[in-house]
Amino acid sequence: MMSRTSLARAAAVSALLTMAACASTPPPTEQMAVGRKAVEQASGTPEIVQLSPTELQRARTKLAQAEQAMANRDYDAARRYADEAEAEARLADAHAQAMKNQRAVAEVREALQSLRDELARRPAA
Amino acid sequence: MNMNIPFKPLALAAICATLFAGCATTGTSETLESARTEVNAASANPNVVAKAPLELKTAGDALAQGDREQREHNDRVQVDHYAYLASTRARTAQDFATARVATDELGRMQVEVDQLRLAARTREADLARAQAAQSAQAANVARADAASANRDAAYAAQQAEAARQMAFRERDKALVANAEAANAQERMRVMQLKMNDIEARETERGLLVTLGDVLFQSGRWEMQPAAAPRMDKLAAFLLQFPEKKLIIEGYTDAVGSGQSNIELSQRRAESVKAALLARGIDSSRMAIGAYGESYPVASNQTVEGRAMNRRVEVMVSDENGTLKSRALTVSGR
Repeated sequence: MMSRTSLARAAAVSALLTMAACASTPPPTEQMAVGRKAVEQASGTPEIVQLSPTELQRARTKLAQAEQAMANRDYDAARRYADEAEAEARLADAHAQAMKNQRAVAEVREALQSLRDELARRPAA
Repeated sequence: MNMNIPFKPLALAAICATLFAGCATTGTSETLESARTEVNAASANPNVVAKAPLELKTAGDALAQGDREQREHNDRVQVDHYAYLASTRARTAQDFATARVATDELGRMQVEVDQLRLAARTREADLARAQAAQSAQAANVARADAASANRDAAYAAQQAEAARQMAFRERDKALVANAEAANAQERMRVMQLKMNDIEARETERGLLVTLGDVLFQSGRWEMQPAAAPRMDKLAAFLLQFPEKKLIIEGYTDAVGSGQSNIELSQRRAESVKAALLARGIDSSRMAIGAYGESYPVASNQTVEGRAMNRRVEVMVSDENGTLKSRALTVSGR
């Protein structure tokens, strides 16, 4: 058990540190770069544009909010929006891949079935 | 944020108490719980665990961060932020898992497609092979037909050869017949010569050999020794032409009774027959005729005439083996 004074001192230090952190948030340059890059790539991929329009739109909105926050020097918000924009861009990518692959599976399954049918129709030699 | 609070221990303690109280407050966040549900669902999906472990981990990390923010700072904005990240990453993990499972499925189906195509090709190859076999069979049939045609042709050739051989044989026969005819002519010529030899002559009755004159004395039937060469020649002629048959006819002159002359002529014919028998002529070829003084060949008024009438005539059968005997007594053997 700490003494009352030592506890108070520790609390003070902790509070100071917390405030210091709040005060010295640097511009999220890296997160912004990553977010921009992710949204840019997703926007440049036709499949994502086509198959994940909702997710892509959200990613773009988040990136725009991040840019706005950067302009406002609200770097905490900018970092959050940038991270969220990146996450949405990745979701758009994953969603598009899932859709594309599932459609491909459906098509191949259909082709496979018709191939089986054709083989079954043609009598063996 | 620049805090300009005077550093007084109590004030500090109060601020800290407030801060820690905020941290300690375990208020529930709807967004965080919603994110937890999504992350838990993703964690419970074996496909996500297997196929999107990295994405699942980042989702879990964000959730844990959100929990920490809530627990330690109770900063709603930060909590919502991490809840948002956790949810989005959980969905991303789900989608990646779906995409990768689909990729695996595509690979499996591709294998099956390849197998089916191979089966189809194999079947087509089998069909082609069957058709080839059919063609080969047709070719065999055609070959068999050709062979059959060859056999027919060979048979025809054989027939033609047989006909040719037959023609050859016919020609040979004709040649032989010609030769035989020539031979027969030759034999005829030879026979003619022999007949001249045996002093035979053609008469309306056939070939006639007269054994007369000197052969028999009056009233006698024994042949004179001088007759032997002529008998030899006659026998040789008969041996050469074994198909010839004979009638040996005896005659007399007009001396003596008619009956005694018949008997005498019989004995004369028999003595000629005996002479031919002695020379190897078969008795079955010879017949006897006794005509006595009938059919004289000369006048009985003169010695020479009577000598010519004392005779034996030998009628030789013609080419057909027929003999014409005289109407009078013809006794066999």
